[in-house]
Amino acid sequence: MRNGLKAIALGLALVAPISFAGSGTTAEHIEAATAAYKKLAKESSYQWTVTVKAIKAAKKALKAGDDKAARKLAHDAMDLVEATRLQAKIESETWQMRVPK
Amino acid sequence: MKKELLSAMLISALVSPLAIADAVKQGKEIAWSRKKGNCLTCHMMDGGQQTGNSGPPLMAMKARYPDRAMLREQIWDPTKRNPLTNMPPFGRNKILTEAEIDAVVDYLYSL
Amino acid sequence: MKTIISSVLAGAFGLSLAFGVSAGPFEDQVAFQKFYENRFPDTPTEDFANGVYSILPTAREQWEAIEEFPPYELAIEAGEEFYNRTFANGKSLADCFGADGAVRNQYPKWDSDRGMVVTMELAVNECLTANGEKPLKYKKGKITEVTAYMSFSSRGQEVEVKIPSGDPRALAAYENGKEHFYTKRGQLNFACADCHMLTAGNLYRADTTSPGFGHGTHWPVYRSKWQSMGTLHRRFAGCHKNIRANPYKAQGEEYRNLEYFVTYMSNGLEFNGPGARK
Repeated sequence: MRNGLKAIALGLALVAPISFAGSGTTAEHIEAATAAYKKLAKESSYQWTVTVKAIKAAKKALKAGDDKAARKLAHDAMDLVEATRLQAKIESETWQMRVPK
Repeated sequence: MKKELLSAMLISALVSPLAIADAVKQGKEIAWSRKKGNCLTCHMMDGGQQTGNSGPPLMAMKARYPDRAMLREQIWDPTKRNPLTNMPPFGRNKILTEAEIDAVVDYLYSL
Repeated sequence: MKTIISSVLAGAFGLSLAFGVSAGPFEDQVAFQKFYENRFPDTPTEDFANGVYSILPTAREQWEAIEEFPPYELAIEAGEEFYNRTFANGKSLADCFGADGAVRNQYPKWDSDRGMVVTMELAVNECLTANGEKPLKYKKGKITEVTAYMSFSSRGQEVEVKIPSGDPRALAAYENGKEHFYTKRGQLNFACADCHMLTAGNLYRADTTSPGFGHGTHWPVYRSKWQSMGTLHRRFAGCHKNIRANPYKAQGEEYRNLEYFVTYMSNGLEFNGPGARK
């Protein structure tokens, strides 16, 4: 049972970013950004405070009925997750250059 | 009729310098804001007070970067040219929006 | 004997060449300390334990004046009281750390039984919980008082962090801390090394960044900006927030490993906590 749930969660995590670009409700977009954020947190120790802020702001805007702002913030959060991922990749290749020999 | 044409010509002659002046002003606000560019933390520039010295002074930018795209790239992701730089990649890390970076470039070109 | 050592050394060197592996912790430490000695030739090596004041004569005078009536004095007194307080089971912290708690130079240490780095703060809490007492919070408050007292008792001890060569997990913890120190993170894209090594001593606005050599020696610290005492992990978290990176948990693995690396880099300096900083 647990494994089944895990598989579903994994499936969602895999599917979410793909379906993200398409339609869907703003709530779903926020959910996708949150899932992407959590997924990255599991994969690496990199996370940015601004991403959490964007997700929180998106939820707040949605609650206040500002769908357009909420959607933009959700997309911002997704962009930030992607930028974080890129940073992690670049750094894994360059950090050793800073070590004095 | 003639008068109208004249004023129209005058306006069109004035608009673009005004727009640039506006962008420069906006760029300065972004560059100086602690929450946005925060350039003064590391760069001496434009009469700013309590500036840092971790980066080079920003002056004569047009002479130093004749190619505007190079200057923009240096702000967007300076680690491309120098992986060891401590300057943040304002574009790659989404610290500033693309439009904000354009405005900062306009401002830097005025220095 | 000499030939044995040199052939062992040569073998190790050959191995590291063959596998392209970077130098070991000791070689790292030598290169690290040399970097700062070259960058700040006017600073006597032992003086790096004084942080930014070792490279900033203008601020040093003011700091020395502050140290005459140190803002951490009350913390030391309160810490001593807490240290000698009798637990419900009749014991006290002295049963774990001796009469005056002068154990600073034993930490951070590698615990091979559990395969983890143990810091002094963690050891204090483990002593408390093992005796049925409530653990302390890790960033500020009581923990800084106890460790202020213990650090004060330990003043003058040499930093001598050990990375047991027989345990690959210890080396992995060290490497983890090392990677952390040199890796850019947060939206603002800074590595510890960016400010505290490559541009150490430069101005960021009106603040001079401190040399990384000496970072682990003087904790806990009374920081004027905080208007209170704080632990090293509190400072780590503050730095991370500044660069817009999510801070890690105080006394979590990430920060313990970072402390392990940072303190190992300062081997040979003296422990001189508690300290006062801007």
